[in-house]
Amino acid sequence: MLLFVQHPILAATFDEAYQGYLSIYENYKTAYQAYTTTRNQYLTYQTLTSQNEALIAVRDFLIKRDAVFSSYLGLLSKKNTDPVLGSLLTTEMNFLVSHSASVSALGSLEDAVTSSQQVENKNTNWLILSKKIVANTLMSKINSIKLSVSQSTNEANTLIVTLKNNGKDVSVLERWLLESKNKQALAQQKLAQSAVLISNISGTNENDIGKKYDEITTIILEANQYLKEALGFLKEMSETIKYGEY
Amino acid sequence: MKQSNMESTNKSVEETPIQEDIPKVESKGLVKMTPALRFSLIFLAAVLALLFLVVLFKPKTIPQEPNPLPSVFSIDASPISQPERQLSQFSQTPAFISFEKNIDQLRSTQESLDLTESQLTYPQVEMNVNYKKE
Repeated sequence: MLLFVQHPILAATFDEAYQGYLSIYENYKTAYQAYTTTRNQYLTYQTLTSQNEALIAVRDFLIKRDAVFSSYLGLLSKKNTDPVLGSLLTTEMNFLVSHSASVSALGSLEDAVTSSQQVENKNTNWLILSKKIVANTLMSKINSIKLSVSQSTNEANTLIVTLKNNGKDVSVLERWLLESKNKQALAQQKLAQSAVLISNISGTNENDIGKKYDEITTIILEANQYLKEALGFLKEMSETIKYGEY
Repeated sequence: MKQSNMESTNKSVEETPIQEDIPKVESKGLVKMTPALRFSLIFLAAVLALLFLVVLFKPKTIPQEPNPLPSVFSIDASPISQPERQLSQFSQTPAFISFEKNIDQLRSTQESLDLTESQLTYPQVEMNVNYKKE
C-alpha cells in the first residue's frame, strides 16, 4: 500500500504522475460508493453485520482518500520550485503515509471518525499549500517569458547602437524600444505584487482561499498582457529594421 | 305606341306648372349616338386600355452603357500596384536574423502558454465521515 500511495511521486514525469493520480482517484470513487452504501445500511439496520461491513468500507475509504491526497501532493512537488514549500510537502506526505498505516488498525466506527478528522483538520493547510504552488507555477511561467523578453530587448538595444554607429536615424526604433521597456516595467510590478500576495495566502475556508487565489491569477494575467504588448513593440521594431524604414 | 307615349309625357309636362321652370335638357348626345359612333368610342377605349397595359407591363430594359472610350482614353482598372518592400541590407546580418527569430519564437510561446493548470485542481473528496442519522 505504501508503494501504491507513493507511485506518482516515483513516476519519471509529471504526465505519468498525473495518469497515476487519475487512476487513484477512480479507486477512491469506488471506495466512496462502498462507504456511503454500508453507512446507510448500518444506520438503517444497526446490526453487527452491517457495522462490520461499514467498518471495512470506511477503512478502505480512508486509505483511498489518503492515496488521493498523497498523489496530489506528489503532483504539486513535481511543479514546485520553492524549497520552503517543498519541505512542507514532504512533511504532509509523511503524515499521510503514517495515517494510512494507522487506518488498517482501526477497530471501531468511532475510531474511524476520529481518524478522518485528523485528515480533515489538514485540509485547509493543504488547500493553501496547493494554491501557493499553483500560483507560483503560473508566475514562474510568466517570469520565464519576461526574462526572454528582457534578453530580446538587450539584443534590440545592440542593433540600435550598431545602426546609430552607421549613421542611421534610429529615433523611431528608440521609441519602440522605450515603449517595450515601459511595458516590461509594468509587468514586473504586477509580478512583484502577485509574489507578495502568494506568500500571504491564508484563510479558514475554501471560499476565502479561492477568492485570494483568483485575485492573484488576475494580476498574473495582467503581467502576461503587458509582456505581450512589450513583445508587440519589439516586433514593430524588428519590422522597421527589416525594411529599412527608419 | 311610341308616339302615344310621347304625347302623354308632353301632356303631363304641360299639366305640371312647376316643371316648366326647370330648363329642358335635351339629351342630344344620346339621341345622336349612332352605332357607328358607339363602335368608335368603344374601339378608342379599347385602344387606350391596350396602350395603358403596354406601358404598365413594358419590360424594363437595362440602359445601355455608353460605348467605351477608345483604348487610348480608357482608365486602367487594375489595382494600383504597391512597390514591393525592399529588405534592408541590415536585415541580412546574423544579429538581426537571430533577433527576429527570437521575437517570433517568443510570441509563439506566449500564445500557446497554458495559464490554467487544470491538472493541479484541488481534489474534490468527501472530508466529513460520520455515522449520525441526518
